Amino acid sequence: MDFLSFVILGLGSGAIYAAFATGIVLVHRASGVIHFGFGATALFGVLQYADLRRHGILVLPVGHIDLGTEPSVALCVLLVLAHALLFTLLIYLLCFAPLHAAPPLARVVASVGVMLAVQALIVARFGSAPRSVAAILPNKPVTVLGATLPRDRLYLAAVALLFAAALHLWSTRTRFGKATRGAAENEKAAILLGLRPRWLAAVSWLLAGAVVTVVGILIAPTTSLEAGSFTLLIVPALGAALVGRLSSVAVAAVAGLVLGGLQSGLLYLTREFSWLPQNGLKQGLPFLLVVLMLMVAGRRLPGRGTAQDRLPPAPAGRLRPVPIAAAVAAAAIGLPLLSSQWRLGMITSGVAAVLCLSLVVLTGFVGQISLAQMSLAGVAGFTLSKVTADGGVPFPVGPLIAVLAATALGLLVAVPALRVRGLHLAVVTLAAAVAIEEFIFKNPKVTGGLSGSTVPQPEIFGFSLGIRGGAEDFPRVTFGYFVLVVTVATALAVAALRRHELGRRMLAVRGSERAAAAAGINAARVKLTGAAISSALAGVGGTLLAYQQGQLSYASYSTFTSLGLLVAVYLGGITSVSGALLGGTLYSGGLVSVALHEWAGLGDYETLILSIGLIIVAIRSPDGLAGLTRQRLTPRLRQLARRTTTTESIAVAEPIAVRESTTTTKEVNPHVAAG
Amino acid sequence: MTRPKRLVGGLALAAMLLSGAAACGDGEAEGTGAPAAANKATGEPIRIGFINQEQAASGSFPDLRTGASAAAEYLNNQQGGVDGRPVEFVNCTVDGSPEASQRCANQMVEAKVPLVISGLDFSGPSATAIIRAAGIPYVPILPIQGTDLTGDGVFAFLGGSPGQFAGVAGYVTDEIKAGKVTILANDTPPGVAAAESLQKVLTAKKVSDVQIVKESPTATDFTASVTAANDGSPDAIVVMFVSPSCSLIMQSAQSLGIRTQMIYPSSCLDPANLEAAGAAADGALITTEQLSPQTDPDDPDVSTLVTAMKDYADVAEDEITSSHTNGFGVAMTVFGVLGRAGKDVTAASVLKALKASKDQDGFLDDSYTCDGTALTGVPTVCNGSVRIVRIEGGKPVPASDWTTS
Repeated sequence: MDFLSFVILGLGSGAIYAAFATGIVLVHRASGVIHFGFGATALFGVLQYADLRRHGILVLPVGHIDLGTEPSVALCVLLVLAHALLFTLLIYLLCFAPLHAAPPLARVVASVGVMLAVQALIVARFGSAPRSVAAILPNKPVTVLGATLPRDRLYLAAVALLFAAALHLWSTRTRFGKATRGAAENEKAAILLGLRPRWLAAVSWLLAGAVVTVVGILIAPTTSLEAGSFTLLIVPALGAALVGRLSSVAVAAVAGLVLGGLQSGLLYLTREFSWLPQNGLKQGLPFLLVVLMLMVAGRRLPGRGTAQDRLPPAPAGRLRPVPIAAAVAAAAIGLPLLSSQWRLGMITSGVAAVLCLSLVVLTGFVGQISLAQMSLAGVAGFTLSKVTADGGVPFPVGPLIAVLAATALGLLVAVPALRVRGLHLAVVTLAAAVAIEEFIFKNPKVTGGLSGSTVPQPEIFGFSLGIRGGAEDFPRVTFGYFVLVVTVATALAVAALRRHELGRRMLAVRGSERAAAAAGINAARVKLTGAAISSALAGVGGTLLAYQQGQLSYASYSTFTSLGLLVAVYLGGITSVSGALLGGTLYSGGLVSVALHEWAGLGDYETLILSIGLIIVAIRSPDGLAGLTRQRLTPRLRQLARRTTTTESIAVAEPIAVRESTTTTKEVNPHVAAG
Repeated sequence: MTRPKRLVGGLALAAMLLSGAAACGDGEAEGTGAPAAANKATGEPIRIGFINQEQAASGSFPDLRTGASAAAEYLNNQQGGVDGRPVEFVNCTVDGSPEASQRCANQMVEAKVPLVISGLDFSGPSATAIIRAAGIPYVPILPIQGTDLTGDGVFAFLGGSPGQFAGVAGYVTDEIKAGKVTILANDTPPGVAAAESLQKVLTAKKVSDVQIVKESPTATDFTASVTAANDGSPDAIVVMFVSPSCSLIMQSAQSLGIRTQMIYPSSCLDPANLEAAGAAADGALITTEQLSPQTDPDDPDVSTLVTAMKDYADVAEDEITSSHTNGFGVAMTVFGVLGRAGKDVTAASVLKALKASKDQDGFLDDSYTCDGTALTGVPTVCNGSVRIVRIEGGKPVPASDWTTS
């Protein structure tokens, strides 16, 4: 058994990467979206197939159809495929068609929203009984190049390549395929030629959905059908898609097969060469691939919507002392009065608000998308555990070291990221989140194996600030105040940043790097400063989270928590401090979560509700709920206030009213509204 | 600190509904076959907490709750409860995240339950810290990491991974007389730690060559890792993956023509798993911690399990999974402890009864003793004994007696 034999053994996984990569390329070419949700939608189809084949019941997103008999394999595949096509079409029409000309952030966010929503739907509709799918392709063993493997792996690889080849020919040889590529590159010209870009894009989506579902079903007998893991198979597929430069289906598919083989080959290499890292290398490989591809071929990757991005406005945040003081006082009084559940919810909201603020700085101000904020927070959390539990470092020093560690990593990651932007940055940060989780958080040397990583309670001059201890109810009010102080301080700091010259420079860079450079702003330095501040904030949040939980595991800062954070802060409003505070309440375990559990009994559907909310907000209101409030509610309140003033004041107020209406109207879209 | 009236009202309403449901007894059972209550408990209910991970993308385990609830129904309707008092669960669902575990733990502390049982909770230690700080004993049905295995005031009636692998070590050295063993381990920190501790035990028992091959629990294809595990022709491969991965591993092994003896953990005995694996399961050894309908159909405890699962959970005998059995068995054992907690069942009296348990009869299991000595290195486990069974013709056949580490 040598390296090559192990590579052959990886063809099964390679086939699914190839299929997903094909789907990603098709869809990106047609509508400029990198769809993170293919894994989830494929799994939905697979589980449908499993139930249909076994029990004759077709489970739908809402309700089900009982066929009464157990259908044949062919009929099952047909039915599931028909459903998958409808489902994909619906997702495209509702979530992505409206975002054709939207900035990359909105498209990323909608894609993440779909991924999380479909995954939540899977958990809700299919529950948890483990499902297995009986073999579909013949699987007697066969020996190839010294490796014995079930022959269905070879058939799978062949099927994936066949689909890729067919789609490659379709897109380069047929008129329809060429029209799709043309329409994707220049929508206006396509319309002038009488083509319908949306229609063409829809067809691409349907083809992608079909390929992904069929290959998913064929591969199901060999893989574990667990929601979380299947969904994240998209990450290696993204790597393969990037090798295909997001435009060649054939190259992407081959790259997927090779990647699957290489990952399997790593099993051989890590045993042969014990100096190689013994864990996480398998998941680290896609990340390395993504980074390599972006650095090597970054400029040649097709980008969309870079010229005229309609970005959500970042309000100037006039700091009004009275409402702020009132809010802080209300929180301070409320903390001891609330029940344990609500107090815990408030504390979680405060911690999450700090984490949201880090994304406000990075994405809202500087314009860089990151799907790995919680990974930075996790580095801080585990550093805190190591230095305080193992190293015995006392309270204010321990968290400072932790925050420094997070900042250092954030800067390290930001340097190569300078050349990357938009969707590609989203891809690289997602791959990074997975890699960090596997490499660092799952490394027993870092996270302490069976006993986990404890975080001793913070105390200063003998006075405990911790969340638990003594005779007091959990969570202790003192910890609540600690979190409140940190949250208010960071919120004020970020608001001050916005009003400071550095904040304006960040927004200039966000708007257009070239224009900013022309105005004499060093874009690279601004981006790095933004990354440093954002990482430091993530570190602070991660430290608070570590103190709150008291015991860390690799799941504490997983990839899905990063995605959940993005959901929360985007819903709240990613460009403002108030948006971050609102986002904090929406984060898992925050005030809204508590309300859903206590008042509405909808706790189990929290993720589903929030993801759907996210998609709606991405389409309707890019500056989140906070933006909605600002646009609709605040002017009306001001109007109300104005009606009670004297005529003199009205005369003075008029120019103010004119200015205000200018800032609150939506920016006019200079593009011709396309089909 | 005042408690909002809504919360108290909600809990009171839930308690009333639960009591009402328990009082109405037979009528509300899911199946049509719930029998008349032969010995109904009518006293003041004992409410114990039940935290379980369900509806989560990272893993859902509702069968644990189903089993435990069926046990409670059986106890309340056929055995007169605990000293005439019915047992009710205060249920709370977690999703694997620490926030959810903290929320549920908080809820239990507010409800002032005398005991909290948890089915499976990936963030169990977060909940345990809060529950233990309130002086309430904690019983994880399936202990996996951290305080589950080493916490004070924590009591596990099943050995979980550490328990099973200690038993395996004995069988591997004494029966198989293996000189070379490979462990196919789950590539997560608890999984790797468990593999390494088994490696230590095997090495101490003079097994000269113990290798560990790691694979991600979310692997799409086990062919490569199974091949790697068989590299070098070991005498035995110890698999540390649970259902439903075990059927995939069994099938991989069969496709690859691997003849090496493979040993699996107890959840691989699940009927769904054996069915999915088909002929690939034959010859496999499985470590079990409890009696089951497949291995001991004539045992009185097993008969109770089968009857109760059918009557109160509408689960047929061939659908009973190891999770059902885990939940049912541990719940019944715990009810026995409650019976020794005195007239006033409080957290303190339950804790005392747990600590004082010595050579008590376990339900569906060997006897247990909760003084920290049952399983070396894992003080929370009260019963670390296991049995090995072999699959022949798709059915399990005993291959060893109860052994303790």
